Amino acid sequence: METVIEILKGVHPEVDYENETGLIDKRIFDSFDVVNIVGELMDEFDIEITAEHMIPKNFNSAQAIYKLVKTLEEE
Amino acid sequence: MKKAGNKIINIISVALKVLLILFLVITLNRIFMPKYVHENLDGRITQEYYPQAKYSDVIFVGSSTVHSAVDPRVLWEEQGISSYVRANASQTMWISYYMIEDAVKLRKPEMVCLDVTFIKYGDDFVEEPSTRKSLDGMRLSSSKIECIKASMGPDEKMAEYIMPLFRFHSRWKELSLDDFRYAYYNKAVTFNGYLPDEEVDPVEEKELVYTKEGDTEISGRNLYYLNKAIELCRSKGITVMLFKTPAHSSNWSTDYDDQINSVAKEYGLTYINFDEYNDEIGLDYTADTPDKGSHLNTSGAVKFSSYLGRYLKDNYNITDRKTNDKYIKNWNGIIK
Amino acid sequence: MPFISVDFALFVTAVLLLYYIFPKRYRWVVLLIASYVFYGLTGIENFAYILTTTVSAFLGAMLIENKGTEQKKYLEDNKNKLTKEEKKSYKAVIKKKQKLILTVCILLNFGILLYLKYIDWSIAYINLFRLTYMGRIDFIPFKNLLLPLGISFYTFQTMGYLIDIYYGKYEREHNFFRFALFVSFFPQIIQGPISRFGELAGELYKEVDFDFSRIKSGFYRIMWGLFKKLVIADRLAAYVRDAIALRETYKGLYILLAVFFYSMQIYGDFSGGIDVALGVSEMFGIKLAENFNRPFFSKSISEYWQRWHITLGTWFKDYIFYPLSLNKGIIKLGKFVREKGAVQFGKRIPIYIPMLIVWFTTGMWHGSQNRFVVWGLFNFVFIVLGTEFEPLSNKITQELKLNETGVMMKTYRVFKTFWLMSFLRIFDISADVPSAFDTFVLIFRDWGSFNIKFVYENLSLPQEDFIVAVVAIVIMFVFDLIQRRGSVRERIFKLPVIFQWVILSLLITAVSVFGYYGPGYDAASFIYGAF
Repeated sequence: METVIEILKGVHPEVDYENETGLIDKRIFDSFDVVNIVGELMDEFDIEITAEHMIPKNFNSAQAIYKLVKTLEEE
Repeated sequence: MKKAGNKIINIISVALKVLLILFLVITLNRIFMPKYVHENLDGRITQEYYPQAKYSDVIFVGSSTVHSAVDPRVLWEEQGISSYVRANASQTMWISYYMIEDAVKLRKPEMVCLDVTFIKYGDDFVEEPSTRKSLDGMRLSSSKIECIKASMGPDEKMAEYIMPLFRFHSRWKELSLDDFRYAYYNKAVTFNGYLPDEEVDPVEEKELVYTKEGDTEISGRNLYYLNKAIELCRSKGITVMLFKTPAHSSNWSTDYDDQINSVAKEYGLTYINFDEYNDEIGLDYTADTPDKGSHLNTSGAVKFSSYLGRYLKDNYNITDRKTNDKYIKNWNGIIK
Repeated sequence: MPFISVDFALFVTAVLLLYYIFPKRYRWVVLLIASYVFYGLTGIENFAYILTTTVSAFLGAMLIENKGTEQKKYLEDNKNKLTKEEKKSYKAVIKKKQKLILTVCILLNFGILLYLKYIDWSIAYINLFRLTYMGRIDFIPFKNLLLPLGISFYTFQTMGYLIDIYYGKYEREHNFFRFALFVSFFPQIIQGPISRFGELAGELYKEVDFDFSRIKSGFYRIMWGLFKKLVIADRLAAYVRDAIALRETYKGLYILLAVFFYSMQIYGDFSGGIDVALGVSEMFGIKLAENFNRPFFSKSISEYWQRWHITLGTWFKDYIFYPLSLNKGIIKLGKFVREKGAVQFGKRIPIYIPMLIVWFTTGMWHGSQNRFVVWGLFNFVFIVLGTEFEPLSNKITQELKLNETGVMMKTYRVFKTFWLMSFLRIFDISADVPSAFDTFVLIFRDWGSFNIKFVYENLSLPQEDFIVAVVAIVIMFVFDLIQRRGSVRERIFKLPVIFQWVILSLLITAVSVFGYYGPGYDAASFIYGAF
């Protein structure tokens, strides 16, 4: 979880990731940010994120992103 | 119980809303239609028929030559014949047919006098403004729809006839106070379809010679609607007379007379080309025409109407209404 | 049957009556039949195309699903026998097969679309090539194919569905006829919006009660759409056309006005049409995706593209941008460049390369001429510049102590974005790329020569129409301003009944009277004369 938040802070340091649940819905992240974050997640956790995972639900909060990473790690 | 009540209230409120919108749309239509009250009075002929329908024993149908030559006031005063002229500018035979059909639906007349002057134009004759003036005043019915279908040009649309607003909305630029004032105006501006013209513009050549040559065969649609009109009247027991209104126009051929005569013969009717009775009528085209012989002016109309009235009285059995109070009252209103 | 016509209004009324007369369970059948009747009226031969798409996507989805069940069953049966590695490789094999099915379907459907849209464009270039390099003058004749109605829209929508099924986002539609309705739903087939199965399916097949307020609300929306299209867009079209055609004579402000009016025209036309589509759907109790979100109030080009033709934008994002930017090759390339030391550059590769492709495709979507591709590339360049210079412009505003969130700054940004997008649209109204540049340059000439009289008299926008257009644009602007705080219709419906009637009457009057449609009225022709 800490690693995820660190990656997120690298893109948008000003966000309160503990509580924010509308990263996509509130347009805090644009598609650039998402692609950058996904790239780093894939590097960091050695997982494969593909277009099918690119739905707002998976990226709206740090918690959701962490969950996505966990699911993919198990596969 | 309460639920049913609510349902009724709902239905009434929806119906009310629809009616309100309908009222708005009808009012817009009426505002935007050209008014024909001060000029182009022929545009009023069709609509002014309806209040007169119940007094119309004889109906004259045809084109503009009729509405400038037949004055129903003369027929009334001299013969007690109560009539209406359903004749517009450039009224084709198919419009004439539907004028009869529309009239018959409302009240069966005793007699229809059908003018054939316009038969000389072909099947594809279209003149949008004239069609508009003839039809925009007609009440909505299957006859009107059929008539629109028969008369529309290739670029016109049915919807623009049902909702004249679609045709005339761009008049917003030139809308005047009159358009609002006369939106719901019902006073008659014609004399039962007759439009007097005081002008005098004499003919140059006194002798009338028909010079139309070439294709002088009556076209298919003209013939079709002529027959259809006669058959409609026959089936309803309405007397029919065919005639050609007198005019000093060379654009005619005796070939037409022959063909119409053979139709008349087939049905056992009379056809009269009144051009042949100029002397009896007393028409003088140096004084009796406003436009070098195409139509009759007021002095010509008085002469012709008087002659026509006597002719109808002598040859047909038309009820004299001079003893009927209702008719007298109505005609006093028109003549006043 | 044109979308904005009396015939269409009658058609919708008839379908509405049938829809609410039928039992709820069968209402979608009414919509399916209506959609096919509507489509058939555009030409029976078009059925061949839409049926090809419907059948191929239905079969494709079925096969993909079958593979999925096969995999599930196999893994279930051999739960304890297989190692993790074996499971993984089995899954990969299945995925490969599914991918093959998807690819075949996509190639088939986009193949048809591309062929119909670009065959003449390609022939023109082949002819040019043969002439230039082989000296041959025996030109290949053009095919002059007519695009079947709405083919771009339903192809995109249906392929989006298939890709989603491939991703396993939701279960496929098992009833062929229900699926056929999803592909052909008539209010949206001509010009969108491009719906997603996940959103539209639930709406199409749900059973709704008759509710008059839906009819009312839909009617308001349709009238508002007609207002934008008929009163504004169609009125301005002739001026825009003439001013651009006569740009050598009427330079400077005339062209600038044309550029402004064209923005109003295209917005009125497109968003107005969408309003009609959404309003009609609403009457059936079906909510379609919004396609516009007050785009002219965007503060940057990338924001603008999230608010203009939204459903196309998200389609490109989900089905082209993300798959490309998450493509292994591109990610490796980015990594490689980063490791070579160009960190910033490497980071941008997985974003900008897919974006370039998206904009190239978006350009092609808009038309089969070069100017549209150039238009797309300009959008790309502006977005890249906007992104790259953002830190710099932020710094400048900070240095100058400008209030970043103040009204002035916002207005400036909105203004800037509006005009940038408007200037880009010159490609849209020009015959080709050189004349677009030519037009742009001419804007800056001869401002002093502007005389409004020429707009009225020589450029097809008479004074009365000019006034109506300007007033209508102001109304549209105010409406969009109010909309910022939520649905305007909901606000209207909260007003006292009498005001609602005033608004509705004004709307009906404005559309029917000031709408720019039908034959003009020439009083002279009505004057009694000929006979």
